[in-house]
Amino acid sequence: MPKYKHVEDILRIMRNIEQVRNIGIIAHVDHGKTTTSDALLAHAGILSPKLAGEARALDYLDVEQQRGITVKAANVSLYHEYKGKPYVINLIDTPGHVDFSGKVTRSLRVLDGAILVVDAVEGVMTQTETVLRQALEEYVRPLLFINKVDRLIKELKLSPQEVQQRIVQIIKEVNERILTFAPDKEFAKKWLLDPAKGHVALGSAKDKWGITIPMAEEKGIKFSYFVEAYAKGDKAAIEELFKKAPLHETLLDMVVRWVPNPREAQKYRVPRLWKGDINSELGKAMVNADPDGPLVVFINDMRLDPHTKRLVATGRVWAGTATAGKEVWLVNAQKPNKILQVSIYMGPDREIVDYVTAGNIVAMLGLDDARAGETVVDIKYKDQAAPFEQLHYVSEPVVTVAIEPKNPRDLPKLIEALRTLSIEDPNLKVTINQETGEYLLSGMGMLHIEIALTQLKEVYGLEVKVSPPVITYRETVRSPGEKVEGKSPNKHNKLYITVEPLEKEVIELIQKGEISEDQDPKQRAKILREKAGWDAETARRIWAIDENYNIFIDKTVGVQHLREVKDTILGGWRIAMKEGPLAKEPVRGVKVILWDAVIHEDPAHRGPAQIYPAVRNAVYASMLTDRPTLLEPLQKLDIRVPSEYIGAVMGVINKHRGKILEVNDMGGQARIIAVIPVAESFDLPMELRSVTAGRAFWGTEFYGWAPVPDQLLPELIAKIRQRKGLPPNPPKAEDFLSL
Amino acid sequence: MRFSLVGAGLRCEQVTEEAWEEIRKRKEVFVDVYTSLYPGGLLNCVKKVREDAKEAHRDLLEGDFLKGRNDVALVVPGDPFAATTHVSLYVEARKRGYDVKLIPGISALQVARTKSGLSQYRFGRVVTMMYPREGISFSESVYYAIKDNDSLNLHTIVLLETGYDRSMTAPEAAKLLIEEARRKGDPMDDRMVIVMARLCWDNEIIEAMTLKEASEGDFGPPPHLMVIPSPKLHPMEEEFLETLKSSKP
Repeated sequence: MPKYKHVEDILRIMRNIEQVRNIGIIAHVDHGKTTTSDALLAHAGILSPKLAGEARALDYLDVEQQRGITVKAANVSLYHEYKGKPYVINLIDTPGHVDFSGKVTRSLRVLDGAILVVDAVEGVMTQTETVLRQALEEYVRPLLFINKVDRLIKELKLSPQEVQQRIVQIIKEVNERILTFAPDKEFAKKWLLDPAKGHVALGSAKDKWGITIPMAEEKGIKFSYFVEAYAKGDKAAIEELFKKAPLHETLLDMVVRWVPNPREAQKYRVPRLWKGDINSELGKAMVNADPDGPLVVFINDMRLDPHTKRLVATGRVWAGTATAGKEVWLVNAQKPNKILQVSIYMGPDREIVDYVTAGNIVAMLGLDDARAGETVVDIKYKDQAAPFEQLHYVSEPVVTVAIEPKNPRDLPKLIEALRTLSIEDPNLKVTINQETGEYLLSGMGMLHIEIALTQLKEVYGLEVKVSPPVITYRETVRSPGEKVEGKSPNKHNKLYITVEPLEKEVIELIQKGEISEDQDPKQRAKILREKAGWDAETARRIWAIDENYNIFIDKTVGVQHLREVKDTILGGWRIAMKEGPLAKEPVRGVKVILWDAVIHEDPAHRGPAQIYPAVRNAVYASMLTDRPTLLEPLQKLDIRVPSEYIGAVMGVINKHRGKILEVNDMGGQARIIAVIPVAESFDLPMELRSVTAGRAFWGTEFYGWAPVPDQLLPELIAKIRQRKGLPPNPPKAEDFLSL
Repeated sequence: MRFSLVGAGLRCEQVTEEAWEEIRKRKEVFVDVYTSLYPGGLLNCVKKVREDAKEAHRDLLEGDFLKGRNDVALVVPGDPFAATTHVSLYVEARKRGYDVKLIPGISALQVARTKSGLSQYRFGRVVTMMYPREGISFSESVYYAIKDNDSLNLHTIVLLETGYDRSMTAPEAAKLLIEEARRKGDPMDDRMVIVMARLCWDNEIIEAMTLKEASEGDFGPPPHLMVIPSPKLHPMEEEFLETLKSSKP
């Protein structure tokens, strides 16, 4: 049963930071994340006595239940007693589908530990690896729960020895990945899972039991006990397992024992995740999770309360104490806001409180200018404020649909709903096609979009017409281009620019967040020198890095007034990067270098109307001499299929310009990992089902970008251009030079 | 082929005989309407003589204005090469073999120098205050120009943005400059400024005050400009400045 607690009691525990833990549950889709969360919520979830009634589950949107996956991140506070001491455990739900990994990363930032759930039969899957890697990169300590052990016995009919071997194998696989992905060798060793110490639980979330080795020894539960119970289908014996080793007790014991409390965790996490000066007053307060220090909150979730229609900001207090009425500074938005109300999560509900101290999860009203990923600080410390590193996402929005309401009168309602959806999920992008007035919704895959559309229907009651999906391409260059002169319309400003491909290593450094625009330039230059072989001079002179992995470098010497037009030049650059010359698709992975410039003395003659076209024309002209091409998004497929269908599946993959990365035949069941262009993926579900008699199962994940084959390029460019109402042939470099 | 670039001064009464002659004789006459404000409108002024005069918008002047025109005059407010910069047009015409006639006009820059009473020998770089746009502020350039001139003890003329939809007034410019100077940790609130509104118009205002006072004042509709006297003044300049302080419209 849920624990009925008074808000005051919970606050008292929260104030004592040693009795707080912030955790999440991460897993490959269908490995049992939601069942595990539900087991925890049902037996350890806190409800305030006035809300006594049926315990609501973590999934509260119908859409999630229908699809059986969790879409929305929500926080619940759990109550647990360990060795007679009370603990509050904040369980931040992380989305299980990788299409949403932006959200996963953001949730991870507020956690100190994570329970990795792995299906005993399927073992470590692609997404297991992805989420584990993401957790480690955020310095979140992983613990392991091997779920569905009953399947080993009921379905695979394994003997106790074989079950044991399987468990050992899974632990080994997870540990190998911890060694590979931990960003710091120190943590890799410290965080290796040792089942003898109790870092690993195994059990069945469905039957609500779980056990660790130390616990089994203590309670005298033998390995053969549950193997036999399941082999015989002995319901009473299984029920007994739940009584002896309830899953919530086992997992929460494990969490309290092995997940560091927020103060311990912040000691190593703050210096690695926060960009500011650790020796500043703000930095020190964060490292020590000081409740009396200046307020710092990292917002991981923004959503509209469906009842009050107000924006709720959920985040972790890293330092200080959040109180209503506090004036704060939003570091990314560069705006002041005021906290109007502070509350904590009690189960799925929010309870208004007077204050929330460092180390805890808080929900706030009043921060309407914040978006997920925002860093909030006490306004008095505005000048010391620095954001947590810009969160880096491995996935990018690649599929777009145009939507319009079936009933034109619903348009205002649709606009409002889209706005809310994109606030709640910043990876969902809403744009307006200026020419057609259509509303465009972009997501990280067709599933991502479909879920948003379902929400429009079920949450907002909107019937919408949806266009066929359109894939977003990227434009890039394949060789260094010529140095070209870009002139302003008044001919008084001239810029000399080249565009080159950005090195793969540098793109990776940006992806990993190791280099970013608002980083200390010296630090950034050092990394670029050491890891990408850039010369010191070039590395020091980066002006800007955008979200599509484009870099602007100033290599001019002694150009007068250049500093005064820097922002204007970058404005023009950002416009050019937003729509490339080939097909007006976003530009990705280029290095734009400014070599020399002539700038008019007076601001009246060097405003955006003059500088923007000068930059854009030069960038376009140079790109068009650089063997420009389009990049198409690729999708990784992780397919499970009975071995006899391997050939048929490979046939389908090959037909769709796919590439097989790996085929693993494991006794009758095969695992095929392949990569195919997203453009080829729309009919895939149907075809795979038809050639395997419906026996193939697969997961998808964004894989990356690859150049469109040359023989397909001209036709594709013409198609995109025509869709956008442009003449079918792309412009030539001369078209921008004569201007 | 003939191309005349004609300056029309600050009001219709300042168009010279020589300029009228060019306006009368050319086959086509265009009037630059985007670079400045003119009492009664420059187009109306030119139309007194040339009913067929046409407006030349920015796109036309920044595009290929000369194409297909072989006997044309472009009339601009003030002086062709002073506050406005039609140099590129002049150069282009010469390159294409036009016989180019350049007729200077009275410019706001010269009038500002004269009416400020400050020493003509001691003016530094001219700068324009622009409205922030696309999230970019341009007031820093004005601040730097003033500081550069200050360092040589020179006066600064600050022109203000003029455009179709809005033209900057002295209070707006003073506010932007005060904010910029504060950001730079170098407050200029008490700096002396000569506000000049509608130079040479019938309702001209010329008045000296502090920047702070200018930011709170009301000087009527644009065009406005400001003169920032150098930090150290000659006794003669001081005395003249005193006369501007007392002058009320």
